[in-house]
Amino acid sequence: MSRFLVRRVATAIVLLVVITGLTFFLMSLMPDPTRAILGPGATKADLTAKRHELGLNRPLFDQYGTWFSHAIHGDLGISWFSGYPVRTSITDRLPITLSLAVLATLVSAILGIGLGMAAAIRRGWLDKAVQAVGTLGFAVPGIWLGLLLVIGFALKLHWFPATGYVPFGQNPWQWLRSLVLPVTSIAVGSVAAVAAQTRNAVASVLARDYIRTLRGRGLPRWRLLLRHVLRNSMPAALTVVSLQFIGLLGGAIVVEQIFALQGIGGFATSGATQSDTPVVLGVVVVGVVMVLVVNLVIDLVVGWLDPRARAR
Amino acid sequence: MRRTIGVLAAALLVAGCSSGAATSGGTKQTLLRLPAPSDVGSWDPAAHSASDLPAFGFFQAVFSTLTTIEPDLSVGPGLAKSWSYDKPKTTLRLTLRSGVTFTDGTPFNAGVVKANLERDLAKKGQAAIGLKAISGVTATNANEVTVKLAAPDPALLYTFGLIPGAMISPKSFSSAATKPVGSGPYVLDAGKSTHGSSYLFTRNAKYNQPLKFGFDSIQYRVVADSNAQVTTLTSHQVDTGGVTIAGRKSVQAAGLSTAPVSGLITGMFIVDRAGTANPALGKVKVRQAINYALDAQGLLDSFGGKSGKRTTQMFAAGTPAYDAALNSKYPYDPEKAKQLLAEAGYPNGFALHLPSENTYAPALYPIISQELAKVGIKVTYSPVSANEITPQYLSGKFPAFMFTYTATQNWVDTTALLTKEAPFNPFHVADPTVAKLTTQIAVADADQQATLFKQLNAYVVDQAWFAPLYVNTSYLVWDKSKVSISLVKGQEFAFLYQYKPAK
Repeated sequence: MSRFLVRRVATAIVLLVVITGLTFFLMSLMPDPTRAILGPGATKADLTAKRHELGLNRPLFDQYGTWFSHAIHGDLGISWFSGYPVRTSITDRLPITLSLAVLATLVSAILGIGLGMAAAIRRGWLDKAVQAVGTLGFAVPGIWLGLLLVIGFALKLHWFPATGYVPFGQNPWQWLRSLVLPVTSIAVGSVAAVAAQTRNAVASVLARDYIRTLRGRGLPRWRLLLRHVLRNSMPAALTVVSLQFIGLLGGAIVVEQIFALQGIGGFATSGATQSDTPVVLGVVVVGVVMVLVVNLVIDLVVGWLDPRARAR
Repeated sequence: MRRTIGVLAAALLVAGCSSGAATSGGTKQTLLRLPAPSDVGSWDPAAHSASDLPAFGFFQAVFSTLTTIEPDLSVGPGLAKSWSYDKPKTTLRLTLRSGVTFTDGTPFNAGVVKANLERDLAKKGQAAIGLKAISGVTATNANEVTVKLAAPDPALLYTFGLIPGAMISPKSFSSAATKPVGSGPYVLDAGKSTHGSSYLFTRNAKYNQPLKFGFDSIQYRVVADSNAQVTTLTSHQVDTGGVTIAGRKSVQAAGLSTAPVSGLITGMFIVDRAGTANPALGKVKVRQAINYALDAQGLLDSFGGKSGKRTTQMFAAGTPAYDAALNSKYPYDPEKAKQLLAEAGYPNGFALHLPSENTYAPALYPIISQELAKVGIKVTYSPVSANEITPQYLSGKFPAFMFTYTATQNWVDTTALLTKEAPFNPFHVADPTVAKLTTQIAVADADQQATLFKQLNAYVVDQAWFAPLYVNTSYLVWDKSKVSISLVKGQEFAFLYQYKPAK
């Protein structure tokens, strides 16, 4: 296990260097941001002074080295446009995006696995209904659903707030209320994906010879389903759940906009459109770390569920 | 292994929305909830320009400024209770208000003003650009500051009423970006604020300045998307805000009050006034022909959502330079345009290469090229990406471009658009009439300035340096059961002190 973890951490560091390095050099191809930073009133002398201040006159490797040496000490720099520390901005916004993604993933996992299992076990009309609803879930754009939910449940029924976010620490109940509509609008597609994958995995396991044998030996149905069917079909479902989580982090951008949630998505978008290199690099670091952590957790869970995976 | 699967059933009880007033200790506490189109970012005034109005919304709550801006954009007293210029207008004496303290207990005095202005200039950020005329600051005595200027700057007192004039406690210089310490009407309640999302401000018990703020607390919520702004208003999550024509019906249907406010001027900036890149544009009759060739009223009806006003000038309505009579100078008249082109030596028109973009006025480009083609001007476009618009347009690469512009104070607009060094004069065309008028304006008194600004405006409209089409109208929205606002005609945005609790 320790060798596995060491190997994973080493891979993470290499990935972090490669991805942030690539991002940095791609950002350096963007137009000079100093005019946009200082505005139309800036003279050539002002622009030159700003380039010096930001270090844009230095060699690229030198600039990247400076950023990286600060980043490994937790200093992600200052936004070129807002003048605010990037790390603090990310710390303020990450709970919003994580709340969205974690809740949506939980909803997807619970509903998707439940519906997928029910469809595979019951078959018949339930299977057809789950597949039909799943297809609909894939087809419905989150942005459209989000707008409908706002009109129906916020503006007409007044059940939930139309926009905004309440931190968990401030009021857990209002935190949950503020997230119901956005989570629903991004989770629908994920529920469909997880349900489809779970249904196929469970159906495949149910068709195996050893299941027929266990059933023939009179093993109780609940024990057969939980211990043998669910356990053997979970790795595939969990892999989809982890991919959905990573996808939800990206998909949150549109939902954040509709529901006026100031998460990482909007921060990343404004950073990229303004060529704000420290912001983009900061978001990339967070994104890479989250993807690596999620993959690591899923690998550990799958290894726990399936001993064959541990050997690989 | 035995596993228990617990099923959590959440009963979704609906809690009432927060109201605009709460009771504390038997006294009714008033709360004003406002949306902000973008986050404040840094709390350091040095990091913001004078034209950063979204950030100024937040700054008004925490910081006092050296002067204040009245709704008609004239300048009133602030931390400086009075001022005087010498005759050449290169020395400004500010007499400061006494008895003002910052929320950290630091007293406000001349030394603080000197330290703030010198810091802003040394930081070379956006604030420094608005203060660049300043060549030196001296604390003459505890309550008087002498500001030396390298050249007269009639916009300096106006700039002092915006973010570059915000005074912060010198003890907070090192943490200015993240911790605002001012002497304004409110204090940021960091515990109930989430940076980037929402901010709560409560009354500053030490605030003792004449400008009165009606609410006990202020809450700003960042709502960037225009559709989300409408839904935030219609669901009564904020008490006031702004919408475009597209959102007006929705907010009115939700029982909210609206009032029109002036918005952006949309039009063509004909920047190659000397004909350096495109010789045709060097001729005044060609530039006038462009003004006649564009059906501004038709474009306003089609793209301005029938919400806006035709204009031919680049100054804001209600300011001294503005002259309503000028708006009838260029009616839509393609025949007149053809005649002027022929008189200028271009009977068959000419080729005009313009940039196009997808951010400010994307729908206008095909119509503009069609209308100019009708009089013989053959337009070709080069697309420019969103983050390249300002650098490319101001680099002198294009002889003209379509743009949207927020007109504010007349001198600010003059130095942005008209003078030789103006950023929106990328070919740096020097015009003797403009140079003469601006030199006179710089040292004139207020009445003379108004007359001279009018002359300047008339000259620029006659010279057709621009082909303005219309001024968009947007709408200020408020819940009259909670807020009352008094606006003056032509006002572009409401200042925080203009919001009062509804009676």
